[in-house]
Amino acid sequence: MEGRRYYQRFTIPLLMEHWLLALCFTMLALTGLSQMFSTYSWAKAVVALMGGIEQVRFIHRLFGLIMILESIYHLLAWAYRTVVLHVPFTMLPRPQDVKDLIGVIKYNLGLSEERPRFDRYSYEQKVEYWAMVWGTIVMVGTGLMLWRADLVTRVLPGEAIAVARVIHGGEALLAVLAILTWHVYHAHIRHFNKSIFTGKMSEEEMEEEHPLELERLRRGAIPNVDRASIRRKQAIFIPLASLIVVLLLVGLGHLIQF
Amino acid sequence: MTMARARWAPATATLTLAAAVLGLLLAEAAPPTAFGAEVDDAACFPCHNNPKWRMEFTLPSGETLSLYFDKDKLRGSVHGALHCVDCHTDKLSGFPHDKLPEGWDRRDLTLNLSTTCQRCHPQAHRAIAESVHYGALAEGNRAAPACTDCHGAHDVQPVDQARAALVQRCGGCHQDIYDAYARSIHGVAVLQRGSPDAATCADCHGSHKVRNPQATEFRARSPWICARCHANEAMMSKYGLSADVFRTYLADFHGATVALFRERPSGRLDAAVCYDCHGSHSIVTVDAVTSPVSTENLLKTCQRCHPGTTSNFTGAWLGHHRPSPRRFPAVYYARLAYKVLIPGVIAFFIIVITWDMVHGIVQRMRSPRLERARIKEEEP
Repeated sequence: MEGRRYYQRFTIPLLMEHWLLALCFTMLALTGLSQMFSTYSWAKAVVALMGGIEQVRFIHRLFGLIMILESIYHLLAWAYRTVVLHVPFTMLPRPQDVKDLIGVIKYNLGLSEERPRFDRYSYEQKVEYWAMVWGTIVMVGTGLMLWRADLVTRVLPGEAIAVARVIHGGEALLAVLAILTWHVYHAHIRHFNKSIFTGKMSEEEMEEEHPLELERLRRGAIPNVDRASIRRKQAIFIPLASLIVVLLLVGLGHLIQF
Repeated sequence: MTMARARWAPATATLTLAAAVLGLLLAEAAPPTAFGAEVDDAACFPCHNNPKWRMEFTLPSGETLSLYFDKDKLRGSVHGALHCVDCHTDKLSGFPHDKLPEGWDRRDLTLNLSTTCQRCHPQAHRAIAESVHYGALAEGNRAAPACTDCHGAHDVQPVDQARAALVQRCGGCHQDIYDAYARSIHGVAVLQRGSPDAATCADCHGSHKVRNPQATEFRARSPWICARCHANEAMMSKYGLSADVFRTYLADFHGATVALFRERPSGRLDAAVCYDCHGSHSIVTVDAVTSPVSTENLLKTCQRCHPGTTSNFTGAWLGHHRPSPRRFPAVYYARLAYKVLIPGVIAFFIIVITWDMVHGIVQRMRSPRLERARIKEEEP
């Protein structure tokens, strides 16, 4: 592959996050759906394989906890990149994304000659990312409600637990089906996007998938790095983030019981 | 239980056990011989059916035993066509009869003679061999029931016609349980109204193969026992009861846990089964003030497994009801929302994907032609 150029797309911690998320998601879906569909033979097979319902519950809660911790890390890492390092928040939805969706529909209908050109994240990647964020919030919230129904019902009516159970199951099914359709199609079938495993993307792929980002990179638009400013912000961010982490962990420690 | 544990008599118990085990092994190998061919009943009756001469016999233990036999009792039983020696095989040798072994009492006679039943009823005997009753007998508890303790000896009646009698038989040993049952909704229906449906002891515990109800295996299986009647639409409608209770139980935490536990039992089963909330022998209607699941008592019942919970906690359980716009509307609408949302979102995804895929394939098929056309244009 002479002269083939690669662009760095993700750093190693982000690649690790993706692996961790995939692991948590798979384990939670397997252990959760087998409880939701307890009358089906495949669910019984999963439970038998994992050593019984008590073990399945334990595994589910364990990976739920790992997922919560990973979400806290993700949030803090994002805040650090955005606030301290001034890395642009390219995942933020913009009006352009809606125009891109319309553009793709027009292109597929034959009403337009050109397929929309995407920046660092395409509209379909943003749909997936924000669906994941929303889904995680819902699943963690309802999951903790079910975990500590005794505490929740000191404040809320008991029916809230029954509603939480419906939402926890419905949202889970939606998430799994969305991954099996949207994610599998866009990240594996349409074009197997290996960048989340390798961290890099070839120039040809960039031209195809993220042409606007490629143009920016070619222009060499590197933002000014003000080391003094970064250091000043770090001095505030690191103690503050540490405090938040400690508070969250203490709170979580009080809340959960295996 | 008020059942008195009889004094341990090693020799007789071992003998009984040996006879029973031997009997079990031989049950199928040696079918019953031609009934009563060797000794005619007429040979027995002059002594044993003589109303003027009611024989009193002193057993080796010192107990006395009446040897008078009421012929009509046997003729009116299910065994009316049998002859004396069909069961009293030890008397085949005729008269004088063999002496009884040293120290034998009435119980020894009963336990020994009960081993004869398996000659005709090997299946019942095999089932008994797996029961807690047989286990107790094998451990040397001579009060554990033998065939005749439940069925009677000369006056055996058809079992399916005597539901109340069956309960009373069990109550003969299990007095406390009988008292609780007699006051329960099932007990009142069976004992006072002769109900053909309400559960008797045997409906839940089985008859011959009575298993240990304290065992996890019984606990895990128990909801399916209750469901035999309580999920039966035809039977429940007769009493104005919901046949939905089992389905709704399985759909919630407790039921799903028990169902999955049965697939691979491991350790203890903590999740509630029917009788944990409703009670077992003393079960009453759910509206009764004494019911553990009545509005007044429900929290206390929940707290037995969920200590420290407060009054709202009971509302998390939907009381075997299907959510509807009137009952548990929030649950109903949440379900409805996902019933619309899931197919809606996934259908949208699939349409967009299919469209994109088809378009991609069409493009790829057309592009070589476009390519050729472009090259042609460029050629002079």
